[in-house]
Amino acid sequence: MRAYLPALFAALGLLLSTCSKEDQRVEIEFWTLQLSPTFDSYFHSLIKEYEGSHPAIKIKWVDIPYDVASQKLLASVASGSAPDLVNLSGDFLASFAHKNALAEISTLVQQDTLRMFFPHALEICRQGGKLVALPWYLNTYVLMYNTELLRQAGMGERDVPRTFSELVAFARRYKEKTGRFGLFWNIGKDSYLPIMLESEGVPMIDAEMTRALFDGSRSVALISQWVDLYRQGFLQRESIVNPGSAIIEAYQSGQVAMVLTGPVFLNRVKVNAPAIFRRTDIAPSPVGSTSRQELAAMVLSVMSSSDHPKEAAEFAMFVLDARNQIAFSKFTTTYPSVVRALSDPYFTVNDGTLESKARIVGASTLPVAEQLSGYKKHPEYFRLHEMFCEAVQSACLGRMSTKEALANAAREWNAILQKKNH
Amino acid sequence: MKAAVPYLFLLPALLFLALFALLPMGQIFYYSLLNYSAFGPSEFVGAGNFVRLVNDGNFWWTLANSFLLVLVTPVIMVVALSLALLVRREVRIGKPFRLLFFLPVITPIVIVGIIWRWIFAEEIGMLNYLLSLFSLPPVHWLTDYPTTTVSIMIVTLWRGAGYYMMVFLAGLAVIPREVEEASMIDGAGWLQQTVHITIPLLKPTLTLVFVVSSTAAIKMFTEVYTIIPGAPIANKTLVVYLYQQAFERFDFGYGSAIAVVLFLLTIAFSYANVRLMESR
Amino acid sequence: MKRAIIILTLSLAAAVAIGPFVWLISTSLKGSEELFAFPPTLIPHDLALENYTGVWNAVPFQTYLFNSVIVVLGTLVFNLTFCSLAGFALARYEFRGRAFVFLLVLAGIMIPKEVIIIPLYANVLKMQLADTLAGVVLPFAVDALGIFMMRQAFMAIPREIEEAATVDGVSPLRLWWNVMLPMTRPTLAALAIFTFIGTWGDFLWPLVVLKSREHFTLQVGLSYLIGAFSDNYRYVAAGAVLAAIPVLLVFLGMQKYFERGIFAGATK
Repeated sequence: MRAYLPALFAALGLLLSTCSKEDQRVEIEFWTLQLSPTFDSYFHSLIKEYEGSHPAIKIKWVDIPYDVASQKLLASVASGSAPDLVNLSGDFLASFAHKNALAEISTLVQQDTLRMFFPHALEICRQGGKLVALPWYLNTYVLMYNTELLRQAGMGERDVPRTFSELVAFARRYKEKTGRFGLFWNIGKDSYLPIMLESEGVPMIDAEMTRALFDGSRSVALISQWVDLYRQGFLQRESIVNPGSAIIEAYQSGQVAMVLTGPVFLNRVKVNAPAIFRRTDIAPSPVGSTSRQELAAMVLSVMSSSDHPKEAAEFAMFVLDARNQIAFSKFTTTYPSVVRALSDPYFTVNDGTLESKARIVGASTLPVAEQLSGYKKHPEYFRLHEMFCEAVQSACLGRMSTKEALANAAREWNAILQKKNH
Repeated sequence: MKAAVPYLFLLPALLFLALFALLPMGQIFYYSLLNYSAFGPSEFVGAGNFVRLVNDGNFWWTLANSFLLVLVTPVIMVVALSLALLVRREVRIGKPFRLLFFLPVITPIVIVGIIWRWIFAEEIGMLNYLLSLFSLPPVHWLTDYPTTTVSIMIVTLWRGAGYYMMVFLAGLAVIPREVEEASMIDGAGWLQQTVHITIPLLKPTLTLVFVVSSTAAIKMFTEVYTIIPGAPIANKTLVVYLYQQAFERFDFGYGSAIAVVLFLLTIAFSYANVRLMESR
Repeated sequence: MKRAIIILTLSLAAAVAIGPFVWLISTSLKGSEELFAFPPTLIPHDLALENYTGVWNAVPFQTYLFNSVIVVLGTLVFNLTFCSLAGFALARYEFRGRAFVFLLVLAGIMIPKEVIIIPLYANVLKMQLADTLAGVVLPFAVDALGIFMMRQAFMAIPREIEEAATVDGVSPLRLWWNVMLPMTRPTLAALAIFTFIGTWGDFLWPLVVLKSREHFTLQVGLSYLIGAFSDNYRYVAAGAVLAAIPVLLVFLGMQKYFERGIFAGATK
């Protein structure tokens, strides 16, 4: 027995020393949104490389499902165990920034490095005059359509809509010819109509965010086109209640001929419905009269509660490095936020595959795409958006006229906008 | 010493209950008096959140829907009890059926949402297809109110029938067989015997199922969340509204105020139920 | 004739009940070409068992399974013991504060977990239980509904049996364990099954408490299959079927407790 004791102590000492060595490293907790297990190998090697060159830093990577992200982040903030660096969707920035949950990042990184990002992407990260995030991977919209279903309707590439008004006409014509639905587009729940309005040059809100503008005659006319389409049965009844994820479900199950979605979803069609994938072609997203296009961004934010904001920001810059972003994009079919990365042949040379075509079509819009809906920067964005969506829903269900519904919603908006802006 | 026995028996259970249900609920009561977002300092607002509730149309609508959903409870009870009695009567044939009725209970809720949205789909769904076979007009299961509430009830019934059938079977198994057999000798038929002997003996279980299924209806959340995710909030339920305020709007003080109301309502509701059932 | 009607009724109800589950199994066996075929096929042309091997390899299934079993067993043992002790006291003892305790139990039933999740998490964190399986188990160790169920079960037992045993002079603990508990076996079985289903299928709570991959339960682990970039329906369906199998097995094992004759066996 006694002979074991020294060995035991030695083992214990070894254990303690490794423990204390662990303690000396600064731990950065890094949360991503639903990127595991698909991209495990990418993140493991990324973290290993970083820890190798920064021996004083330990990165703890935690991945959380998108649907419960805000809930989990809230619970962690409320209980004082928030992460240091967190991946957020651009849509969430305003509400978190307004709660002072996000650190001002421009003081944590060198000012001149900010020039490497797409200006429009960086703009999304600016909330109330403060830079509270850095753009990570980006997404734009493309038109995805089923060539076989189009052919059956006696239609071809020249019938593919290039503007929103052609899109309305397409939905009508396709249904008239085939009796089936031409497209699935969310107009009620998670409504895309604000993007359409902005692209047509009709803003949802004034620049000072004090007044709703979507109740004017031009926007009522534009929204009425879609409401009428719905009321007359040219859109599936669920287009006003199903969530955004229903778009790709409707397309890959062959229910509809056309959807407007991110190139990133092409991979999902390939996995779930290869037969439909083979018949799929890609075209640029339809636009309104201003030709402006929507940009969606995933961002990285340092939490204001972090004990090591400098270290967290430094690791963020490593993740955002052009080389690492190109490598990530190759896994995800998303776009990097760094201008220089986009000149990589991966985004410019068509290798004949559909994925590469989608990539190039989407990439061409990146330098001009921007966050169109200004009210996404309002701290009450979700509430405002929901009010707008419910107005469209009640118009579609015929409970009131489009004009009336939009006027009511605008009144509700103004009450919130004027209260919050004193 | 002897007087301490019930307290000792209760101690561990009450300890856990206090720590992980009653104490957090007390915290919720406290939060309901605050303007509290979990971010930054909170501010005492007294009854402010409750005043806001009284003037909030969505609160009243969701409250009404939650109570409307309780209407499904008697239906679930009748179906579950009938299934249990039939399965018990036909012992041999009944056995595989128990398993089949139980399958909805163990189907993951995410899958339940996907499948039922597909069944309820208004142009291409199965239910409206069946209706069209009888030349009936399509029903707007997912878009029209209060039809959406009926759709939720259907799914609740589908999921609940097998679950409560098991509870009834457990209750039936405790009933001494001799008591029932004695009435058989008196010449009572199966139906008479069931109505006059078996069901009265099942009273504790009936109380249990009624309390559990009606409170489950009032606190309905997951089914609504998965089947009509995009419906206006006024067509949903109180717990969904609470969830939205607390976790999507981060208005934790207001969410807690809703929780307090929900809590007080359900406790009054089920206490009345228990009194009613036990006095009969 | 009567019997035929009963069987027909049961069959119709069963068809409604199992439809979606059959669809789930069918989807889990389909190849990618067939997933969205129209009209949909119920029986896949060639059984694609690779969905099962695929999902098994895509996530560390064994680790998740092990964690789930630990969580379920822990929750089960705590619940069955403590709920039946408390239920017995409430059903069979007269004592000061009984009505109040019963009210507390009812209050416990009324509290939706969704409501208290933030203070609950904050408390678990203070107890140093975050990211541990104990943190998943302990808050659910006693379900107020279980106490209520057990109280109802004990109340249904005839007084005479207990009185006969008390005359023999057994201790309260022995009375509970040797005499009364065996008679509530059907309810215990029901409680076990419900606790099992609830714990096995719970997603939100373990998700909030657990952070490290090696501590994930099956439901949390499987939820990651529905990823933003790789939504593979066939894998999701296969994973859901795999996760349902243990529940089915337990159900089959427990079925005999729901059958007649247990009461007679217990009193002999």
